[in-house]
Amino acid sequence: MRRSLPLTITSFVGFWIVFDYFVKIDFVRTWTVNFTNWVIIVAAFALGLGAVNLLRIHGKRVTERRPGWMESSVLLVALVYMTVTGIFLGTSSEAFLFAFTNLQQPLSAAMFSLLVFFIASASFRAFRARSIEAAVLLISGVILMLGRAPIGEVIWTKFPDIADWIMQVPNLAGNRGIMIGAAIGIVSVAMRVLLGIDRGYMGQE
Amino acid sequence: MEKFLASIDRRYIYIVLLLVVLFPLIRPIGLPISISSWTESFYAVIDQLQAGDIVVMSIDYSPSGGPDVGPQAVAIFDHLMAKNVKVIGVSFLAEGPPQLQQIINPYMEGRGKTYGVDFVNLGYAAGLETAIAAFNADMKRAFPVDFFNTPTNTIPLMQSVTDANDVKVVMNFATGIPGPAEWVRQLAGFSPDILIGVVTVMGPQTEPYYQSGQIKGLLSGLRSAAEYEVRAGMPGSAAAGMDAQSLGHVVIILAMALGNLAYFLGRKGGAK
Amino acid sequence: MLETGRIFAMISLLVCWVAVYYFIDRARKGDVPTLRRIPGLDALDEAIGRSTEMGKPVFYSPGRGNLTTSSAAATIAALDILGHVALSTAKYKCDIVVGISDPAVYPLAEEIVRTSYRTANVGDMFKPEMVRFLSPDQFAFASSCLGIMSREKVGAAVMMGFWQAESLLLAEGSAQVGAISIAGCDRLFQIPFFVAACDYTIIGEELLAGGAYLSGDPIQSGSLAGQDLVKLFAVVLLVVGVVARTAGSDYFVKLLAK
Repeated sequence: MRRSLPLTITSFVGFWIVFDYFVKIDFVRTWTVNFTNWVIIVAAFALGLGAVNLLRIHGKRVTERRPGWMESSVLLVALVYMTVTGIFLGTSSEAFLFAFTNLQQPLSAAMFSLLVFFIASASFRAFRARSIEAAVLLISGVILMLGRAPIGEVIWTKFPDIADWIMQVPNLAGNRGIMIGAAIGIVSVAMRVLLGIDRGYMGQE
Repeated sequence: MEKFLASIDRRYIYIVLLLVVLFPLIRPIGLPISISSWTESFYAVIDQLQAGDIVVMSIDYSPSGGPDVGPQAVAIFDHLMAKNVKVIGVSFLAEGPPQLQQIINPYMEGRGKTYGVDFVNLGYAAGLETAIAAFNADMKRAFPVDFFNTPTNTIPLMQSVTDANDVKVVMNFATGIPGPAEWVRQLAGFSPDILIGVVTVMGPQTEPYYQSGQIKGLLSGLRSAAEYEVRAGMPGSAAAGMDAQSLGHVVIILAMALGNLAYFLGRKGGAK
Repeated sequence: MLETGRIFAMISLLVCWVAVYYFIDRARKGDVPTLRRIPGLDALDEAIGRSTEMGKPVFYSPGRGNLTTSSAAATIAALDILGHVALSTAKYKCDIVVGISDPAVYPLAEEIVRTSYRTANVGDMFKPEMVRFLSPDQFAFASSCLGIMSREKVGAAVMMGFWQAESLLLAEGSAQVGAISIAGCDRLFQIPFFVAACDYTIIGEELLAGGAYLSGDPIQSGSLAGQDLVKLFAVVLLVVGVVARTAGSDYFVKLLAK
């Protein structure tokens, strides 16, 4: 019962939503919207569980003054501030937008821009021409980088054309292959889950 | 030599990269920017729009991807406003509406445009792909109020639209999910052209939709934003960042070359 | 009654499901297909063993996907693999730290790790701190993972599921702490980062086959053979479409748009 009931609900709702994608029946669409809304509500409770987990781990670190307790306290203050302003004042309020624009946005952008440093160190450490295939990959990577940046055109006007060819022919061919394979895999996983064959995500039995 | 190369601390590479990227931002070099076919097609669709046409801009990029995708949305919104095209702004990512607001803020207080008449920020709808489906089927039902809690059915711009067939173009600016795949799937059977702007790394994966004609134009990262600015004759922040990107690419190519030199010298040494 | 523009997709889905179901049925009757080796999945035990020998924890993350979008399949596959990894860490009495980004995935992951430790008869070794909800925000999550890798000096980092730009940060971050890294992703634009920076990479549908591969469940293995038949169907469609288009016919284009 502990497993069969959730599996039955999963199957019923899953097949319903798939059916809704292909048909134009108001009754089916209305219930799809209802099911989706319920998912959002369940996910909101899950977010609460996640917040409890955060509070437990970081609260413990702060109260026990374990290493990193200062950072944990910053996290807790930010969590409370964004939650309170977002819920009680709204996401279009000045208090919320202030933190979003001046803290979340620049901090996120800074983390994103760190990627360039990691790419640099990865390119120094890992991009080796160990075999002919790796050498081809390396050379096409260099051509693409030059073709996609204005400096490439200054060095040789053909770089953008070659880069476009790499993108639109060999890259696209491989891309489509992986996309089709992955899409079929997704359909197969969905079927296994909806039929209750794949239960690994529910834990070991 | 190989020992020296192999022992280079990665932090030296970081410092070199930082200096090389900073330099052109302070003193621009002014490298030429050519226009790719992706950008040209995107521009052609926007350029064909007439004054009074309505388009949808879905701002679905995260704040982290903002520096790469945001300049595309800014350039296109400016171009649309210059052409007197009306814009319905939406988001299916919780962080989207404040970023959309940043794009439209310059037009909130002047420039001859009026909020609710020329453009609107409908805010965020939860539910990802299912919310997109609901929006395409009935916009006002999916967004009963806008970002400022004004009922949508009282907003003048929203009076002439019901579903996605009432707009000419739908644009999605994304860094992940929801993104091109979700919009292409959910607009199947509807009439508007789809235009996509994505973060650089998503460009290759989005290309198949462009080649198949399912999307009519594709912008990929800051480079495409710069191209669009140049094409539209409105150079902005993206074009200014191109020199830095160019030199950054050169440093990474040099890092690869050094890494390979160390590898081959090491292998030669090992073979002796 | 049928949505225009989606009829061909519906037929394709039905073909796909019938093919997969046929092979599942054959597997039920004892005709189990042989699966090729997937080095990345085979290396999981080696990575956990190495971590155990070094007395370091294993870091695992099922990525940034959720359970309600197209990332759901990759996330479910990653949770399947988590069950196997957690069972191995429990058997080896090795610590595991699981980093979670999506709140709905968090209770599932906690339950998987808890039951894995219980199955290995070391239920008392399970600690709630093993499964940590970090952040739904992309780079807050990435920086949290980097922090865990560096502070707790993990011996192995396993990153499966749906990944975005944070993939390289985590892959390179694990290399910097000297951890053996295994990654799997079905998003094409992140695979190159993982291939370049990780010790083992599981590409595309290999990830989605992970649960079937690791569990050795014959019925799930059967579904993989069904997938191959569907791939054949896709190849035939491609070839016929290319030939028809080259010959100037747009019949297939119109058919696909139905």
